[in-house]
Amino acid sequence: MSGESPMPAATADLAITWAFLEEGVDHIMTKLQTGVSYSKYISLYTVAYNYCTSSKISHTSSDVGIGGLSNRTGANLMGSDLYNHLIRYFVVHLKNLREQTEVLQEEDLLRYYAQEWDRYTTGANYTNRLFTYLDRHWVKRERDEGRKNVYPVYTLALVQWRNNLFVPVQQKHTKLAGAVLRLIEQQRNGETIDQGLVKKVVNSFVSLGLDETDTNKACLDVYREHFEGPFITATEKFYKQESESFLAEHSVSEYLKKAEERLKEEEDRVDRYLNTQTRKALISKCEHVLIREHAPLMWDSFENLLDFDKDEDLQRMYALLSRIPEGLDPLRKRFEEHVKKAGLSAVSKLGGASTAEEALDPKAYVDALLEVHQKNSETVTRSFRGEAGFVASMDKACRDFVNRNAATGNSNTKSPELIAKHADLLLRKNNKLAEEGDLEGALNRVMILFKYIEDKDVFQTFYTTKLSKRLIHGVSASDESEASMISKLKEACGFEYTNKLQRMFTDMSLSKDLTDSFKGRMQQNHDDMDMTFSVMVLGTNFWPLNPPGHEFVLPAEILPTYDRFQKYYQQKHSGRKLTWLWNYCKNELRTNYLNQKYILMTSSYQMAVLVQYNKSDTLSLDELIAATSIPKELMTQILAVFAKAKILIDQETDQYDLNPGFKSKKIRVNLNQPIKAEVKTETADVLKAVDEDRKFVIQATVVRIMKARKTMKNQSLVQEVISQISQRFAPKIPDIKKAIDTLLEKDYIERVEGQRDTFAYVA
Amino acid sequence: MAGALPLILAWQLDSKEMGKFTQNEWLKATSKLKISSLPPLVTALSDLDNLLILNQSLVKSNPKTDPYDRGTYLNYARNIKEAYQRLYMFCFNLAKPEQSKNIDMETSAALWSVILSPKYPVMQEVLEFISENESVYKATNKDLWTMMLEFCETVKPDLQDYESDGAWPTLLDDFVEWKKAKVT
Repeated sequence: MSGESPMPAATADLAITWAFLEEGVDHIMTKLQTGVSYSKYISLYTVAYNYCTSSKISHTSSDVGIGGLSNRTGANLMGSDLYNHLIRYFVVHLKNLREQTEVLQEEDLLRYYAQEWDRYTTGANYTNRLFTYLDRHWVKRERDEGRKNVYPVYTLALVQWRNNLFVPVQQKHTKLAGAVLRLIEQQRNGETIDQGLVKKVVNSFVSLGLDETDTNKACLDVYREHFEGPFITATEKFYKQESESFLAEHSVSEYLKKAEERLKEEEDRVDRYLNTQTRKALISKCEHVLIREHAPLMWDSFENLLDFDKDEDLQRMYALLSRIPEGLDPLRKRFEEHVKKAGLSAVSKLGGASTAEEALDPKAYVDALLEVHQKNSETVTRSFRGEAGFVASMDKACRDFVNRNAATGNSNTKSPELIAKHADLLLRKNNKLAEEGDLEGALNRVMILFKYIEDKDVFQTFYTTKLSKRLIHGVSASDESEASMISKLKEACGFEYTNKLQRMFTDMSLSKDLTDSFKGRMQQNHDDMDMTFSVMVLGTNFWPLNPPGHEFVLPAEILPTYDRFQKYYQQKHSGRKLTWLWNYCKNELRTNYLNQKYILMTSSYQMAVLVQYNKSDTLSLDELIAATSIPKELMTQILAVFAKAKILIDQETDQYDLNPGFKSKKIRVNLNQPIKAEVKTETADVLKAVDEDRKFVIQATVVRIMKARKTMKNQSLVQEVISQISQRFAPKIPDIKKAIDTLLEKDYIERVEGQRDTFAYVA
Repeated sequence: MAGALPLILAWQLDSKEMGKFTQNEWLKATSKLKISSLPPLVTALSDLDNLLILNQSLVKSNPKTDPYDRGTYLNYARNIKEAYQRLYMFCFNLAKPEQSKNIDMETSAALWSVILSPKYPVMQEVLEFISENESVYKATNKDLWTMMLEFCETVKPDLQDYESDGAWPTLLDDFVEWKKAKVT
């Protein structure tokens, strides 16, 4: 309105044109808020347009004949005039702004800077539009010809701001960025700051970056140089100082909290007012200063946290250390140690186990192991998010203490034995160990430990022995539970591992049918049978049972039944050989010589001795031995049991009389107690069987490998054997070498000529 | 005759059974060596003993004055190691009963004491070890026999270069462990 000059004519010269344009540009740049009328804006645009186009036309018309080249030159000249005037305007304008900053400091400076930046960029935007034509033609052509210091008008404005305001202000002790950094530090110290202001100033740094080759591309060089670099340095210094002084006065636990908070804060800081590109550099610097620098301290206090079950602190430590490379390795190692120690001490606490091995209760042992396992695997899930490395440490520690602890001493077989015994107790009828519904759960827990057993074959052998006892004596808790346990073992170790066990069940059910059908036949032929007879026919190769090692004369009382069954079976399966395992049989005898009828439950040998008294009331030791062929040592033990139960009376040396006054509170009298020596030899037998088995397993494995590979170096052969067998047990290298010796001798393999350590398969 | 001489004789005669020489074997060998009396035979056998087992220097041969035909001797001298190996392996087959794959440890220890011990001092200790553990090592199979020579030939007397994860027979592993335990 006031002093609005009239629009120059299309043909007006530069001076008139620029005077008009400058007045408009200045208005836009300094007091845009007062408004620019639409007509004013259009006339400014038109003048700029007219100037460029009209001069271009006048030149081309006067220079006909020179052609395209001069055509372009003309446009260049005219555009460059306007362009240079614009530059001059910006320089003067900015000098003015800069002078204002000289008295300003810190936040005031930032406020002024931000406010002027807003005004300036808005104005530059409008100015840019006024000179659209200049941009599109003259500037574009200049840049196309390689003059990279010619910019579109808006960019030009930014370049001028950078050169004439930003850089000069920054040169005074980085006055600008310094003020920003000090604000950030204030915030870190807990003060409230104007984050919007920081954001604005920081954003201006980003805008000032200029990619010389492509003005549209974002470029962070100004931001990086003037802000990011100093910011990261300041951050490092701040947190170095803070973490050190914090740790001097606080516990590691508190520090973990602090570090976690600080890292979160810095993440937020990026979101609030920094360029996202800074995130990586900032966070990794913070991780370095806050975590890496104090990692050894954290590692050292890790065990303490474990000892006192500080779950939250452990979680925090895990989360922090997982952020730096190799931060967790020492934790994993220490965790392994911790678990191992816990396992070992849990077993030691069972008390005096190593001295009185017999007294160690399998349940107490298993419970102690399981408790350590459960507690620590919970820690892994809860505090270490089930991370694979910790799971591996856990497994390694468990493998260690499950196989070797105070209870096992130097024996590799004690632990599998105890665990197998525990499984046996669980699977027995009337066991009080597992509550009715939780037998399955208890078996699953056994499997947790089974997984860690190195010598799975020892477990297998004990388990087989125990299972055979349960089946023969009919004391198994239930077929379902037995089947469930076998399927678990099968799942863990494969078909081969449980093959025998399954065959044992098949034999049991076949035997039941056989007994029934034999009974049926006997009822047809011998109606007057005064004897109940049931039989189990068990495959020699599947049952860990040995026939008696001595002679045995069958008493006449059972001979007919024996013969009948023998015949019946041969008829059914001719060619099969029956071996009678008298040492596993049991009998029930009804007494007729007493007022009260008792049922005496006995072993076969006890029965054979007692029925001798059908003929005579007094017998000598020698007579009994002669009648039964039972070895003297066993016979004296049998007689001792009878004497103790007062069935027989041994008032004279080696003379045993039937006690006519025998009395018992119970009608059924169980005389069939295992003899001590048997229990001991049982374990020894099992271990011997395991050893023999292993020899063959190793040899078979060597042959199998050599057959597949044809030739192989000693060392890799040994390694391969170990890796193939370790599923079942941990083979010892000397045993493998012995197997190789044997196979060399048997010509299964030979040494390759001239290569001492290479073997070849002999087809 | 003492030491390795009977074995060398058996080897030269290519006899099939320990301590027995057939007339045929005898005639064949003596005519080849051009020997008709006992003294030159003793010379011939000691020559081989000196050359192969006792590591003594070569006897100068003069076809005109030689007590017997030294052609075979000179042949062996061209590759002493190979000749020795042939003698060594011959001994195993000589001592081995026909149906067996092994020779018993007592016999093999006796053989080693005359053919290996004089040449390789370490063997004396191996024999000591074997006799201390005679209940453990009952027989020598061909592999052990072969590897025993290999062991003497390749491993240094102080056993420093013995590789326990090399493919040595277990007897040798055990021996090395035994010796190392004895030293410390």
